[in-house]
Amino acid sequence: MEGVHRAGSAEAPASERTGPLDLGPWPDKLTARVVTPGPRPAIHGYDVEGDLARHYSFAETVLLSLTGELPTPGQGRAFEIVLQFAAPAPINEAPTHAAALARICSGTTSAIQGTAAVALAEQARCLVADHAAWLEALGAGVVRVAPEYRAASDEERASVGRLRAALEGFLDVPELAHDVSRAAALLATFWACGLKRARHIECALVFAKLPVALAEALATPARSFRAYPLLLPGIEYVDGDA
Amino acid sequence: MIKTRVARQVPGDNLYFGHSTLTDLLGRETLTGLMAMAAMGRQPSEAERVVLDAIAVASTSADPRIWPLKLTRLVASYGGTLAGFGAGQLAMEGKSIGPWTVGAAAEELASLRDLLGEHFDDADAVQAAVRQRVERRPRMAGYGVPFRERDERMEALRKQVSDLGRDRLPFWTLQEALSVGMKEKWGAAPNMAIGGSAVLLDLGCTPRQAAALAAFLNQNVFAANAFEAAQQRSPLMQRLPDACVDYVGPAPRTTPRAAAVNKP
Repeated sequence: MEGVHRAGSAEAPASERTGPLDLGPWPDKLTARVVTPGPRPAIHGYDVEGDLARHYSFAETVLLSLTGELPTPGQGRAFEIVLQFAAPAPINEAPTHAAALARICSGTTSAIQGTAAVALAEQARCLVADHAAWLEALGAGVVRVAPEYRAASDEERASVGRLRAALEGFLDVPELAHDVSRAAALLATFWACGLKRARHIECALVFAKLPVALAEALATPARSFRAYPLLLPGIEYVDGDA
Repeated sequence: MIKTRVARQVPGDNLYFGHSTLTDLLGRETLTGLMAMAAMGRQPSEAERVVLDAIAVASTSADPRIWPLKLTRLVASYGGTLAGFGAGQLAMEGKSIGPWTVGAAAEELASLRDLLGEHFDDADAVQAAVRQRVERRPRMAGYGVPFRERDERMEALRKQVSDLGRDRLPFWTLQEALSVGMKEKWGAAPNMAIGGSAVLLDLGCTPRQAAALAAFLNQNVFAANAFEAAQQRSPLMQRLPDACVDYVGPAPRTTPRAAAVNKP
């Protein structure tokens, strides 16, 4: 309080003068909107240990956390299925590649996880941004597949067919009946599971891939510098100022 | 094949943007210059380096209570300096807060410059363009100062720019005209972002280079907070008491599945 009384005093050392941050009408508490803190935590009001853990799967709890709504059994099972379809994070994609490099550099498990999470989040951000018009169409309920969201190969069509078959009996995703790309199919399924916001779909993509990316990175030997293909991909130096 | 202008390791040396680090740069170049090269791809002149240092020093607003710096300290509180330092960067590449906002401010100045075209030096044309620009824009990147009437950093930078004789350069002049217009129309004072953007555009930066360079020059504020917080490993940073949280979500309730099981 002494600093407040000295505000504006020419004699007061700079460190004791009251600054703009001292004067703001700040709240004195953090605001929680999802998790009730304390010894008996709840998510959106549902007791975690006595209710959710006994009656809902982890995937269903993730859906509840993001949307605030309990999913139907079909949505919950469909979410598990689409998470599994989205899970593969091969080492030739940047997130797992980067996480493996963190492991090679003897990064802590924390550093490896942080690397993977950041890169997966960036990958998800780009994928969702590239599908902004597709998400808009899903929101409008109009199944019209623009050329950029169509399957580009028979392999993709087969994958979408396997997703449709796996979801059968759990959740109807009408978009999957069209000639959609694998990515568009995954996003449509997330949408049908209740994730109607781009940012929530980004999160789901990261949840899906993170364990797999980490598993691949942690399986890489630490300090295996000489076993790493340093020249892949080729990077050519161009001399001179830009 | 991916092309790079950044660097190449060669026998007995490292090239950095076309310069030998050990024979050309060592003993001559500064950290500020190396950071400038990272964004601009060219070595700054001595005069340019001085004004870049002015931006870096004037931008040193490192109070740990400021949002991104608090974020930095929360992550670093478990002892990882670079984890905190890295995390502090992640939310900065946007238009809301921090040095990256220099990019959005630079876009404003660059687009105004494009609008003026060959009339860039015509004071009347500048005034007219500024009037048009501010007419329906009470909010513009580089304007508005939270919690105080003016941005003391911008004021200090203005003096430095003047002392260095860079206050008659095109983008600085344009910034001053726009600042007068924003103040007169909306009462919005210029902040550090518009000043920094003008300086960097006058150095030849693109808006994207300006954003990146402004962020690179501001790393000390994250470094200082990350390092100190990692040393402190404060339990209070790691976890605040539950009493510090105000829960506003749904009241306690029971899921339908639990209700069905518990039905008498």
